[in-house]
Amino acid sequence: MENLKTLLDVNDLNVRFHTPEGIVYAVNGATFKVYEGETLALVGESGSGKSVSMMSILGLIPLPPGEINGGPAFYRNRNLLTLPEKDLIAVRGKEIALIFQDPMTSLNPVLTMGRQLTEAVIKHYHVTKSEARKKAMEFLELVGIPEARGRFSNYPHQFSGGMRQRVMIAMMLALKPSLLVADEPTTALDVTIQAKIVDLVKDIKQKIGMSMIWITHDLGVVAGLADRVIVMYAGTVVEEANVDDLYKKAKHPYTIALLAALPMINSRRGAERLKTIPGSPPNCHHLPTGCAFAPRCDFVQDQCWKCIPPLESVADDHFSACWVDVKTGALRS
Amino acid sequence: MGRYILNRFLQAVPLMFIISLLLFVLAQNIGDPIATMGGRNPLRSTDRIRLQRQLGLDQPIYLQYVYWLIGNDWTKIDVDGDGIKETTGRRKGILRGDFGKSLIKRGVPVTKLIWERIPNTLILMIPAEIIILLFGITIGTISALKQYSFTDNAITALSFVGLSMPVFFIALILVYFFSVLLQRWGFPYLPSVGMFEPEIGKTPSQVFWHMILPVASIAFVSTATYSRFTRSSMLEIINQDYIRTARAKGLEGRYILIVHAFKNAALPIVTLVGLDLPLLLAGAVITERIFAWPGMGRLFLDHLHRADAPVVMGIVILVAGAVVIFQILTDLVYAALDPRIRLE
Amino acid sequence: MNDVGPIPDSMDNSFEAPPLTLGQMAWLRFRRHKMAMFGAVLLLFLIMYSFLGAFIVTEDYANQTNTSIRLSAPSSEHPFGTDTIGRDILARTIYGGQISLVIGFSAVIVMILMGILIGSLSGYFGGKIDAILMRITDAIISIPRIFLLLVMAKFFGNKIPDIELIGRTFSGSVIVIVLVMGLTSWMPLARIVRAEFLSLKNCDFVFAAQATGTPTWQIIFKHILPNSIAPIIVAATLGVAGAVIGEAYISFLGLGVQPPTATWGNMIEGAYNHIESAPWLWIFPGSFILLTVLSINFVGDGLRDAFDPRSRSI
Repeated sequence: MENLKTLLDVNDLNVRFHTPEGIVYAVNGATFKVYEGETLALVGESGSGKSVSMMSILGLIPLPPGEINGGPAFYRNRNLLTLPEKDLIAVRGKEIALIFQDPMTSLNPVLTMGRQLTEAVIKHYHVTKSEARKKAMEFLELVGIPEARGRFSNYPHQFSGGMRQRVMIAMMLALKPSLLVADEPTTALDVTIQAKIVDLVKDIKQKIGMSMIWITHDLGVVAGLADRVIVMYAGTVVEEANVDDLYKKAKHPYTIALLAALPMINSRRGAERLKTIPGSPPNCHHLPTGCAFAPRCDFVQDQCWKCIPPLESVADDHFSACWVDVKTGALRS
Repeated sequence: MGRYILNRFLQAVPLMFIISLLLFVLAQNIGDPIATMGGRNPLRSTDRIRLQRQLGLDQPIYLQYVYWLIGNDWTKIDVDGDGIKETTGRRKGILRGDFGKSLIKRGVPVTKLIWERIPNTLILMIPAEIIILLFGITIGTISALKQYSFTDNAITALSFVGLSMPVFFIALILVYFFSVLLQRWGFPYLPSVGMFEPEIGKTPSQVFWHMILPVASIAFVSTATYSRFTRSSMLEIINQDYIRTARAKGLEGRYILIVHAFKNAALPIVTLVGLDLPLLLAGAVITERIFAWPGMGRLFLDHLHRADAPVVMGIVILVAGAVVIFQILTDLVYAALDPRIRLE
Repeated sequence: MNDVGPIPDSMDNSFEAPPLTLGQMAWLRFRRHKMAMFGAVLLLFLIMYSFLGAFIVTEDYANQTNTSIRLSAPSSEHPFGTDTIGRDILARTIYGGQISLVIGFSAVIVMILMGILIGSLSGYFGGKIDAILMRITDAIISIPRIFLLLVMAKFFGNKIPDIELIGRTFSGSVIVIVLVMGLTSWMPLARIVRAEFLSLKNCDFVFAAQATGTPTWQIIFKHILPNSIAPIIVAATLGVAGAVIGEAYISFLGLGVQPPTATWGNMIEGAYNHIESAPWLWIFPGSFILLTVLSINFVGDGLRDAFDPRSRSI
C-alpha cells in the first residue's frame, strides 16, 4: 500500500469533552491513514469515537466543551488541526466532505432544496446560480433523482427519508471533494433503502473514483463495500487490515467477538443462540489504565490490565493492538 | 387556507363573548360612579335616583349587559321616571361600535376619549418596541454565539437583573439620575413629567425629549426578556444538525448565521412579537402614571378610580379584542413563514 | 475460554454509579448551577431578614408615626431614613417584606390549586369539558394582566374585613390581593398541566390503573399528576416572583394593600412625589423587590435546568 498516495494521515488524536458530569474521553490516541482511491470502513459501536475523530479533524466540534490534543492530522501534508479557520473552511466540503447520519435533521427545514444544493458550490467555485444548478442537477441524476429541475423550490420535508439522503450525497458530491466521509448514512433509514444507498454509493465510487471513509457499526455493510477496515474501541484503533484479512483472519479479540456476533442465516452450525459480547461498553469518563477491552475479553491476561497495548503490525498490512496471540492464547513476543 | 382563517375567526366569537361577560360582571362592582359625581356635596336622593335612571343604572344587570352589547335603540326606556317606557333608547351597543358614554365626563362618548389617547400611547410604545427588538435580538444572539464566555455570563447576569426589575423601580432610577441629579449638578437634564412643557406647547421636539425616559423605562425590562428568549432560541438552533451540515459544506460563519440560523430563529421570535404587540395598547399603565403621560394607561387608571365602568370596559375590551385578533394574525404569519406548515 | 475470572474491584474499568431518584439527580444538577445557588442563598437571606427581623423590631414600631422627623435621610438611628409621616423605613421593610413574601407564596398556592384542577380535568376528560374550560382560560389570558389585576382589586375593594391572626391584624386587602393574584395567574399553569395530561393519559400505566378499577380521582392525582411535578414546581417558583411584582404594581397604584400595613409596593406609593427630596423612600423597598424577584428567577432557572438538562438555557 505504500505505492498509493496518502490522503489523510492521523496520528495520536485525542479528543475530550468537558461536561457538567465530568470529562468524557471520546478519542484516545487514534492513529490511521487513508489512501487515495480506497474505501476505508471505520467500524465501532456507539461511543467508540469514530464520528468524533472525523468531526474533530474538520473542526466541527465546538471547542468548549471539546478539547483536541495530540495530532498532527495531515491532509495532503497540511495539518488540519492547526489550520486557521479561514483555511479550514476552504477544506471543508471542497476537499473533504461529510455526510451525516440523519437526513431528517441534517437539512435546514426553512430553506429550499435548491438553495441548499447550490449555496456551497457557489461559494467554493464562484459560479453563478444557474451554473450551480446545472451542476447540482448532474449529481442529482447520478444519485437517482432525474428531472430534478422542478424540485429545486421544494423543501426538505417534502422529500422522503431515502430521497433526502440521496440529496445530501448529491449536495456533497457536487463540491467535488477528494475524500467523502459518510457517517452512518444508512442507520436512520429503512433496511431496504439502506441497501439501495449502499449500492448507489458503490456505483458512484466506480464512476468517479473518489476516496471514501464509511463510518458504521454494522460489519454486515462493510464486507461488500470497503477495501480496508479500521476497528475502533473506546476511542482508539484496535485493528486495521484489508477487508478480506479482517473477516477471515481477525487478530483482535474485539473484532473476533464482533464477527462472531453477526447473525448468520446459512450457518453450518445450525440453530444457535446469538453470541453476544459480555459486559458493558467502556465508561468514557475514565481513561483506561490497561487495555480498554480487558473486562470483556475472551483472551485476557494479566498484562492486559496493566499496560495499554500499542497498535503493531501482526502480518502484512495488518495491525492489531493486543498483547495476546489469539491463535495460541498466549502473549505475543 | 381560507377556510382555516374563517374557522379561527369564528372560534374567536364565543371567546369575545366570554370576555365581554366577564368584564361586564367585574365592572359592575368597581364602585359607585354616582358617588364620585357630586363633588364634595353628597347628592340628594332624588338627584341620585334621577342620575341612575339617566345612566341606565337602574335596570337589572342582565338587561344592562344586553343594552351594552346591542344597544337599546330597538326598545323603549323610561326617561322621566314615571314608570312608563316611552322613549326610544339611543344606544347602539358595542357590537355596532357604540361603546357608550363616560359616566364621569357626562355625555362624552367612550370612543372619543379612547381615540384621543391612543396616539399618545403609541408614541411611547412603537419606539419602545423597535428598541426592544433591535437590542434584545442583537444582545441575545451575541450571548448565544459566545456561550460560556465571560461576555455571555455578564450578559446573562444583566439580563436577569433587567427582567427582575419592577418597571417603576427602573423608571424612578432613570428619573433620579437623568432628571434630578443632572439638574442638581447643573447639567442639561431630561424632563420627567408629561408630554411637553405647557408653555412651549406640543411640538415634536418637546415630545421627543419628554418621551426618552418613559420609553427607556418600558424598553429596559422587555429588552432583557427578549434577549434571554433570543439566546435560548439561537442556542437551540446552533446545535441543530443542519447547522453542522452547513459548516461541513465549508460555508462561512456569518453566512450561516444570517441565512441558516436567523431564518429559523425568526419563527419563535415572530410568535413572541405578535403576542406582545397588542399589549402595546394596554399602555404602560405604571410608566404613564409615573411620567404623567396622557395615554391609554392613564385614562384607564383615572376612570377606574372613579368607577367609570363604560370607559374601563371599553378600553379593556378593545385591547382584549386586539389580543385575540393578533393571536390569529400571528398564527397566520407563522404559517406563512414556516414552509412545513404552509405546504402540507 | 468463555469464562473470565472474578474481576478485581480495583481494576474494573467500567463501573456504574448507584441509580438516583429524580429528586436526587435534580438536586445534584441544581447544586452545580452557580447562579441558582446564589439565588437560593439570597432568597434565604431575604426571608430571614423579613421574618427573623420581627424579633428585633416590633410591628408597632414599624407603624409608629412621628411627623417631626418625617422625611429624614438615613442616619444611625434610622438606617434607611423615615417616610412621609415619620415611620422608620428599615422597620417597614422588614414587616413589608413579611407581607409581600406571604402574599407571594399564598398567591402561588391559589394559582397551583386552580391551575392543577382546571388543567387536569381539561386534559384528562377532554371533549366538552376541555372545550369549555379552555375557552374560559383563553378568555382570561386575552385580557392584559395589569388591567385584570386592577379591575379585580377594585371589584373586591373593601369587601373583605380585616382579620386577626397570631396576634396581628391583617388588612382585609391582603386577602384580596392574594385572591386576585392567584385568580389571574393560573392560566399558563393550567395549559401546561393540560398538555402533560394529554400526553400522559395514553401511557400504559394509566391503562393499567384503569383496568384494575382505580377510581378516576386517584388516577388523576396519584398516578398522572406526580409525573408532571417538574413543570409545576418550576411554574410555582416563577409564580412567586410574578406575584411579588404584581402586588408591588397594584400597591404602587394605590389599589393593593392599604396602609398602615406595609408592603414593599405600597411603601413606594407616595414616593414619587418626593423623588428629588427623599430618594431613600423608594430605593430601599425597590431594591428589596428587585433582589427578591432576582433570586427567585435564578432559583427558577436552576430548577428548570435541574429537571430537564436538555432544556435550552445554558
